[in-house]
Amino acid sequence: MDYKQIIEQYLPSMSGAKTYGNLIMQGIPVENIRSVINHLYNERKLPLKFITATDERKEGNGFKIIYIFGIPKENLFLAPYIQLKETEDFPSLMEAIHAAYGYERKIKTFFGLNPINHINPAKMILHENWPEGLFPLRKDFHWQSRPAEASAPYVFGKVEGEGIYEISVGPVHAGIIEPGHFRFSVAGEEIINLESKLGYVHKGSEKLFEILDMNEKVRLSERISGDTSFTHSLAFCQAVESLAEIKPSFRAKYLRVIYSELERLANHLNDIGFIMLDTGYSFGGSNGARLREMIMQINERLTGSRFLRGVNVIGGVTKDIPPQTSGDLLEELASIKKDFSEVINIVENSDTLLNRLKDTGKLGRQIALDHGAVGIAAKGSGIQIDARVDFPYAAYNEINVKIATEETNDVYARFRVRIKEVFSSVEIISEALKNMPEGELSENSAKISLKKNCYSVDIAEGWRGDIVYFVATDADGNISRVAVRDPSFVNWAVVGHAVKGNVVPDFPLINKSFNLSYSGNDL
Amino acid sequence: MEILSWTIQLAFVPAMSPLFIGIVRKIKALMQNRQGADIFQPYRDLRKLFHKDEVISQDASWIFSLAPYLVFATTLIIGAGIPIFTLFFGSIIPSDFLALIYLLAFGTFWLALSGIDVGSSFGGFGSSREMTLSAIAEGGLIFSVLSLSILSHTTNLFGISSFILSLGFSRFAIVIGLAFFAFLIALLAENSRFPFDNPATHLELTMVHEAMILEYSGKRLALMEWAAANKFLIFILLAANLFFPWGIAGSLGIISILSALGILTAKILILCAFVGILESTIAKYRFFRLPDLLFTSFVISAIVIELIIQIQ
Amino acid sequence: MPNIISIQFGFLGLFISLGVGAVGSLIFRNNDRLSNWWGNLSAIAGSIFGIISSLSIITSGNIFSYNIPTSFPLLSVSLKVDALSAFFIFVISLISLFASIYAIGYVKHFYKKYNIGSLEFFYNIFIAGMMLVVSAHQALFFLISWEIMSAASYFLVIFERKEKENIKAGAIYFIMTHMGTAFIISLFLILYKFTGSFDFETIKNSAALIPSLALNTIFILGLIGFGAKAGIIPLHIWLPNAHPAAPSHVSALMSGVMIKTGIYMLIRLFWDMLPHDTFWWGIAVLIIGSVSSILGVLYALTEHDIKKLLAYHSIENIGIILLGFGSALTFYSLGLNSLAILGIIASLFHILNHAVFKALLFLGAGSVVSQTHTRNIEEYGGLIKLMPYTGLFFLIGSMAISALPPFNGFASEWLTFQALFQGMQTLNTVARGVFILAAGSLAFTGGLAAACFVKAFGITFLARPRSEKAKHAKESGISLRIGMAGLAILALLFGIFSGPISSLLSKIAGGESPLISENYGMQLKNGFATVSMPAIFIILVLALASVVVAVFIAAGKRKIKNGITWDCGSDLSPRMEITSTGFARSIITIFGGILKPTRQTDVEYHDANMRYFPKFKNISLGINDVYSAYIYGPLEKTAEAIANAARKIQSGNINAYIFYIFIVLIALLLFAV
Repeated sequence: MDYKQIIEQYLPSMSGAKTYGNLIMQGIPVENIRSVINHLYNERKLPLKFITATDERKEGNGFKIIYIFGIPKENLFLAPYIQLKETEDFPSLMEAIHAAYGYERKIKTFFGLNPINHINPAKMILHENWPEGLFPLRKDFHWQSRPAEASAPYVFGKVEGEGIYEISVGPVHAGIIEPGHFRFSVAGEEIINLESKLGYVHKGSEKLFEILDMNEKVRLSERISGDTSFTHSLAFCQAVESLAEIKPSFRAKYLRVIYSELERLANHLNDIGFIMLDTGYSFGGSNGARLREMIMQINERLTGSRFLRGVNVIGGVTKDIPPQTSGDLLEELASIKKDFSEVINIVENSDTLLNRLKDTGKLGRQIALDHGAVGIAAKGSGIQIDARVDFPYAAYNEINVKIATEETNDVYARFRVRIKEVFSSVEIISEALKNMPEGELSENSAKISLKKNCYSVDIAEGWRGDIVYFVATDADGNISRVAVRDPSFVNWAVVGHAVKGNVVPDFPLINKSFNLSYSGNDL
Repeated sequence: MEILSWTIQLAFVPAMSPLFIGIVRKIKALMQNRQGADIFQPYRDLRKLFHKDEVISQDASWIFSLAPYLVFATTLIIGAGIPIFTLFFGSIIPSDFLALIYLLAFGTFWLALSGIDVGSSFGGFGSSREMTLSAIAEGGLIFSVLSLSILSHTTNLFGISSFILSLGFSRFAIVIGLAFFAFLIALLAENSRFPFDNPATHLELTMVHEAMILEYSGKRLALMEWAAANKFLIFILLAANLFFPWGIAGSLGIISILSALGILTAKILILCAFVGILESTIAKYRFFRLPDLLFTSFVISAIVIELIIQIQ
Repeated sequence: MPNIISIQFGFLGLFISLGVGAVGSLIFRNNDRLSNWWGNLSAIAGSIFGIISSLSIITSGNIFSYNIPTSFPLLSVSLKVDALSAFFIFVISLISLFASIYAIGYVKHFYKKYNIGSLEFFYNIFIAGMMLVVSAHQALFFLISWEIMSAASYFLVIFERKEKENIKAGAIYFIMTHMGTAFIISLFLILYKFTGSFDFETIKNSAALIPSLALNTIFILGLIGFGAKAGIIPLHIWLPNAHPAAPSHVSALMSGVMIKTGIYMLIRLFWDMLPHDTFWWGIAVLIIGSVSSILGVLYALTEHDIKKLLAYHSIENIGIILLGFGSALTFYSLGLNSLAILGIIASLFHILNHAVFKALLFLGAGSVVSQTHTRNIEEYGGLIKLMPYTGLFFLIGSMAISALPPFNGFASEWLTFQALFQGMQTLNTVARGVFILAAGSLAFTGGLAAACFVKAFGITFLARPRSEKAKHAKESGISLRIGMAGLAILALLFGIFSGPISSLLSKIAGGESPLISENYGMQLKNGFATVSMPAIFIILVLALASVVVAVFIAAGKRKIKNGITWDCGSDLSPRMEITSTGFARSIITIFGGILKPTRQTDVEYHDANMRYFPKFKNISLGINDVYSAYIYGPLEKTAEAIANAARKIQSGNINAYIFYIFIVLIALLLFAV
């Protein structure tokens, strides 16, 4: 990897560029950041993966706002950053890059840095009862402080017009689902506008990462989004391994692939069932639930945990798949695949179901691209984006992964993407099981020592989309910042666009076709 | 004997409706490879609700409080006024099908008002959807029963039942079958069944009937749910006894009554099984596809009427 | 036994009261309170005279005639009140009675703003005009009465002249009614040509002389002329503007009674006076009735002005009345006289019932509008708690118009249905097809009307107030409540006693009744259908009572807690209640082919190029006005074009005018020779 070449290609100059493993960072003067980002995003067409901030005032570096771009084929991350020493304002990029809208608002809420020319720099995730002027991710905010409750009004956007009324659902729902508030402006049955208010399950995870010890940190990463426990902890462990310069064994990497794909299988089967259930098609719903249960029981037999918790550690995995189990697993997956094919055959012939799914909830390709959508939302709109192919991690560089996309942009497209990924996951697991080499499960390190003043970025393709972890260490080699970007954070922005023009009873279906994590969004 | 028969006639619908709702749910559960709840569970649910306190919104008015009683009362009246197991009551009970359909409309009117009364958006759009579907279903409902009425030269439901019974299997069989199909669509629409509404959903935004009674609790909720069960059984009884009246007793003899009740139960179970299986194998329709289905029901009935007059 | 003298006395009393009322109001016009009481009390007195006299004519079968020739040739003051006219006088008097009682309190809202004296003057003249219209027995006298009625109502429509839209409404009304009158005049001229007289009696006796082409032409002229007054589609465009513009008690009379005078003349001419065995007449009326009823209720659903909504429902109910009349004509032409009587009974009964519940609804609406100072339903809400009596009476009116038993609307719709059902079984294929369509339209109309009134009543009275105006409403005064209460009670009574009423109506229709009413029920002679309204009422009350008692025994000890409506954990605002437009939008979308809904979106974005962040968004929902676009617009343009062309003749040049005179003289000379 010729870093020099890369830097010459993408960045304005060599000065100040530092390489940390697969991450190249360079400080950019504030006045130039717009043109640099513009160059990278619009001209070089690099995907913008994350924008986050760190508080390095103690080290005398002020605040840093870091723009993380990925260079797919090279498997590198490029992160220009700006330093705010005297000021708390920074130029907003949201007009040119829509994805920046959410990131900058979050930076404002948690760090108190003001994006200039941002249309709506209101608090995000923290609600109106959080007092003004308190920014939780700043170093001088103690993690156990309890501010007094404020009471400011929360103003929703209003669609004017006589006869337009609002439907407000949540955060308490009639079913057992995550809490979120949706405010629709409707004309009769047609949805004119949707405004969502999330943040009801904000747990302060990013702050907590800075407090807990290493094992606990891994456990915390599993709880960012409960149904993506394994892949979240995988991304985190990979980021820390790069800081500790630990390389897990090939066997461990293959095992990680297998477990990650099992998690993907379970969730996709569940979703496929639920999408059908939300149209009232109980045949499909109950079969989806049944198939998912089979995977969950496999998970429990292999690792003792239905959600594959406690499996990832820094340096590898804790649970092995011996050859005998491997053979049983292959057989079981083959029978599940056959079962699933039969169900899908029946389902694809159900006119009533397909009539509901097709042409509902269309998400235009350009909208998805502008908002930086990832995962299933993007794939359903024809965008080829998958971290297993773009930034191969674990053992994915040795496994053939086909990116599943559909062109029709609707609920049916996202439904079919999941079906394709189920089949592809079964293939990947079979290939991995057959080719898995011998090796240690995990590097036995009593004490993990991290590089000082270092940064790392790592990515893993969760079943919803790619998960990005940005980890920074301080001068003592302790982790000083963990920034998490769950795919739901990006994709929530496009749900509002997908529902416009649809009727109200179709909203649960459209929402389910995205199936975003509230907890992953709120952290 | 007469007292017993009168009791059955008056009490059959309210007494048995929770049982048949329980049977439909059981069939749906079995279709999904689940055990499902016991068929008597709806009775226990009603009992539980009658034992609970209520919470009434401060935005609601006396309309909200009175509606469940009125709606339930109308289902009692209609339930007593239709042929159930014997035609003996035909000369005593004034059973005009228009009067019964408009009494049902009375109940729907009050149900819709109670949905608006609480001022929540769910009740509001629930009422809107219910009145929309009900208005368009009315054509098919009136006309399908009307076609039988024209065939039998009377609007008295007992009279219709007796005439169709006397026809046996005749050249009218096909048109009666078509009229039955139209009536079936109206049955599904008026009772909030698939493909119009999902009675078991938890998604407020998709509800029609459930959305209107979302605010009710305690005894009023019990009355509303019971009334919905009654309405379902009434439609099933009409489907069974108007279109396929075989087995209905002509008099009050004990043997004919017992056999009539037996055959009736079999007919009801077949129809319940149909509804249960239908709900387990199709998805709900898009809302704006439903009027097409309802207009189809109306058009089929109109054609049936023309055919009947031609054939007669 | 009321003899002819007391009937004469009754009618004398009727017109004298109204006359005194009119004149007195004018004299006392400077005293608001006095003219209010004077005008309305006279109207009440006149109404009472009217009710008594008309009832005695109907029950006794006597006829009241009054005929004085005047100095004008061809014109004589000629009245003849037979059972049919007496029925209409009864309807007019009944509604005037309650409207006038209501008016005593209602008119107080106009004190000091407008002249009460002129209001009461025109009000009394209006009622008198209507009475004269339905009793006139000579064409010229009829036309004069017709004009009095129209002119008086015009002045009442523009009474609140400070509102510009009222003036415009009045103008449209004025034009449409005179356009209709033109057709009526032509009609009478043709009758004169073939019978040699304007006197109704003479016309009736020489009706056989009229050739069939002329007869058909008269029918078409009559349909257009009287149909315009009745408000059939597409001649209805004045109705939704004029009725809401007038003060509410006048709207009640206009909607409940005045439009029926058009129907009266249709019945008088084409059932009583002229031979009516032409088949296509009945078919035409049936088709017009079906179209009017469906379109009327669909347009009502699109409205969120409460008085316009009620006005459109009048169009719908005229359609239903015409269904009854149309079936009568059709049956008669097919030789089924007994069924024809059924059609007339249904028609007459619906005229009475609609008058009662429409007036009730307009009085209720007037009560609400005068308290909230807006006619827009979207600003109402929660009024049942502030105006409980108005709410109750409006609810009764809503249930009656939705044809829910045991109210009167159901009884007359039941009869109309029976007439149509009989028609569906005739052997004539064309008739059968039209009857099937008519019955279908009646079936859908019933359901759609119920949907519309759930919307109207629900959004107006239930849930929370949607605006400041609705928060400050108070219950109306005692006279308004009495006016509404009387009509509400009648709505129930006319329903329960529909049996005896229908047998009374069969006497008016003349001919053998197809109905038997034993035990207060209604039953068709051929055994097809039977219903017992009192039984339904009693059973309903008993069932309700037993449910209440049973539940009390079972669960009476349970407590009831006051809480808030379920808000899912966030706050509820008035914007979350369903709106009138929102409620009806689904139905409008479904019938989009007929209603042609429109949507206009105004959006302003923060980011002009990408358009993801709207700053401001406004949506306007509406429907296309088909009639202006396709019928009246082109007519207007044509008329304007002709007028402009004709203007060229008036060149202003004296020489040209002399030339014209010269030409005409030559032409006359030539013709004379």
